[in-house]
Amino acid sequence: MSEKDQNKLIHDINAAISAVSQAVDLISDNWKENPELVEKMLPLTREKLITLSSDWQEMKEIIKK
Amino acid sequence: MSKKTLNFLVLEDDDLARLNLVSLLKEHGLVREARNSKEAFDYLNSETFDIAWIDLDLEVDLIGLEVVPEAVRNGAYSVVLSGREEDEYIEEAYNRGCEDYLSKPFDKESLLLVLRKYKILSSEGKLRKFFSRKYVTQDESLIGNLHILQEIVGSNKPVFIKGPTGTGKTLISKLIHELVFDDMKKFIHLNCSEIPENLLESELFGYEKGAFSGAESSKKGKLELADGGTLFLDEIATMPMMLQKKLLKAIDEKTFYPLGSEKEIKSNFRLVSATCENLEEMVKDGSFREDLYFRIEGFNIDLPAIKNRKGDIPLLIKHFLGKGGRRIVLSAEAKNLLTNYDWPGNIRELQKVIEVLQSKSHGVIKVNDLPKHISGLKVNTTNEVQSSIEHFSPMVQGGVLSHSQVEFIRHNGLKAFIEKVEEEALKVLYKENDEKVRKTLSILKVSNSSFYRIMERLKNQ
Repeated sequence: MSEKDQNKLIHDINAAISAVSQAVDLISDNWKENPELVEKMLPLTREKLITLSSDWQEMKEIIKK
Repeated sequence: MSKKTLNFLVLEDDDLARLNLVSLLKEHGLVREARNSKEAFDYLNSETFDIAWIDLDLEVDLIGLEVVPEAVRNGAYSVVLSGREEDEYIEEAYNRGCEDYLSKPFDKESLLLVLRKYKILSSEGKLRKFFSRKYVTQDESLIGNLHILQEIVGSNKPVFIKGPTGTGKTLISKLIHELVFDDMKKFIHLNCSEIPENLLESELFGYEKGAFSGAESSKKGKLELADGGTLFLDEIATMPMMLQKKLLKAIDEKTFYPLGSEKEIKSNFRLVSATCENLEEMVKDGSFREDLYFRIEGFNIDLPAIKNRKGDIPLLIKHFLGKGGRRIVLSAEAKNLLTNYDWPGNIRELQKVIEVLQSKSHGVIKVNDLPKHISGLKVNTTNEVQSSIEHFSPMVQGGVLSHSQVEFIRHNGLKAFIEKVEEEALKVLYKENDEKVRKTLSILKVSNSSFYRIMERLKNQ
């Protein structure tokens, strides 16, 4: 993988961690008062976690090398 | 929440990240969402924004860099959000005019920090107005000290204001609140010395119906009322030890239990506390908790007594004279006496004296119009002030208060009078007893800690 692609992968992981951690905080703060927001967030969060998991697998391969 | 309404543009292609950002920012203003650079350009060409939040990698990698200069042209404070860690892109974003670069992953606190920083920049005009219209001073060291206000706005750290009575501690704490919030609704003021000890806990933490005899209905405490605003604890040194421990926990955890309740209450407030006592000394002698002292400290503001900034007295007199509807002037002698008076009650006392003079004088205020405890002073050739020898005749038969002392209390309050008596008694007797502490203590009949507390006040004068 080129350096450029590796940097992009780091970017994607950083961005996904950011989005998921913020989403968890928002879900925790809003699940009672604003369930509509939580309903929107949960599927997006799950989707993001799948992407994050796959990116992390890729990153592990790079680290192993 | 009563924070100012701001206009935000959020440019983010990721649905979850955008939803997070929009949900967080909605609490602080109106948000426009752009999913790609084209939508962002359209918004920037048709509306104005206070802050633009720009993701770098969108439909094309790093296209966000193209949007930054357009947002700057729009007048928006531009913040780049990116998971990119390469220095070249961070540098490029700054070169193109972004004001802040938030590295992903970032949390809510980083976002709030940017908002506070933005507010500092937009609050400069407000600060200037405050110093020209509300807090009159030309004292360089004080102005230097108060510059910290700009940093305070940009942080959530507690603020600790120290200064003798009447120096404007409440005014400064209100300003700190005003710089962040639009109105005063969420400025919650509790003067710990004005509430009886046994009621202070319920006032601070609130209570449930039936928590104690007389609690016929539930009542929210100041801690809960201050949620999303400022809790100003005035005269915090007078808080009983038992409550200090409980307050410490509430500050640390931002949660507490009202009296008689098992339901934990969350409250996120900005803590501003003030005192005219020497808290460091109180920590040393064990009358104030050290851990609480370190917790309430953050940004420290020292407000000096006006006798230590004599140059401000004529300005303050002019300022308060200008406030009345009726124009009056001071004779040179009256002005001289007012300028050289010590003002133990500080600005509050000066303001009160001027207000009284405005209501009863005849256009030109002469020495005779001044309160007796001020006009009884003579200015000597070196311009130092000495008390005239007063013929003592008590107000009450068998009492100890003279007319001028009562007059002094009327203008400055009992606390200032007692402090003045303590200071003078210590000064005179300490000197008389060849500066021997033990000997002086046996006459004064006060504790060691009280002695050193008074001594500390004298040193600071």
